[in-house]
Amino acid sequence: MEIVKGYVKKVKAGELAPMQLPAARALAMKLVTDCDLLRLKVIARLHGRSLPPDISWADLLQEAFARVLDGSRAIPPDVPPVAFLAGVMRSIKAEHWRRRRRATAQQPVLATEYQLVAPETAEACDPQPDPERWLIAAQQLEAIGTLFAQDAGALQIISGLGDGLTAEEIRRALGMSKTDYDSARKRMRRALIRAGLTMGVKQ
Amino acid sequence: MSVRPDVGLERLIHGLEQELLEAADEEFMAGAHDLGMNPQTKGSAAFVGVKDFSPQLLSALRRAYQERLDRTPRDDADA
Repeated sequence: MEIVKGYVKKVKAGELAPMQLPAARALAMKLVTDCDLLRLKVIARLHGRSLPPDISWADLLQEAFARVLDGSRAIPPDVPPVAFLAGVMRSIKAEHWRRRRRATAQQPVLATEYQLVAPETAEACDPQPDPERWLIAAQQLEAIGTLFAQDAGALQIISGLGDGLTAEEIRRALGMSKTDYDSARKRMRRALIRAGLTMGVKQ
Repeated sequence: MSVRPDVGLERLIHGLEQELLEAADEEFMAGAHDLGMNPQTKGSAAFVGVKDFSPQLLSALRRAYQERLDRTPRDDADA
């Protein structure tokens, strides 16, 4: 931290503005509250589970705020800022994967031009399905399962969400009362929030 | 889960995101308190990576500062 303080002192006053993170600027502008920031941090860390390895959840969160603040993504008047920012994070994540797919797809072409790799190697780079994304997803599904390993109710809900079912469809499929279901959801959210706010980089 | 892992994970994240969007503010404050954090205090650890430097940004700043230090003597010599 001393190094950063030294850096901040050495730069000119006019250069200090970019040092404030976009999320902090949004807070100062009262676009969001402290509690909104906590919520968005947990959501960003959740999305961080399916990001390419060279992008962090913090990059995703700050980029979403930056786009809203610079006007490239305007919040519609009828949409809550937190829900909108969550949507922007989803969209940025999709962009990163698209860019990565394009880069991967170009590799075999470049390599063939310079005759560096055999055709079967190029075939292994086929982006459908992306093997790296597949692997990250499998690992993260396991990690999320571990997060709720002690809670059978939450695990059943997770499984239903992964199958694309709605909350009501899951409740009916599990034959749970609304009270039991809401209680399991609350436990699930609590575990998720703790994992999203904890200091560790990985859970 | 009966689908490809990447598809299943995205669906799961979407479902969990909806849960988080619907959760009450109090649940986030309680989650922070569970971890011994007090989001109402200035510089709370709950906001690392959000309001304050993320570990990645801190590392990038260290590198940038070091590069600046490394460059300075040569700049002086050129002048």
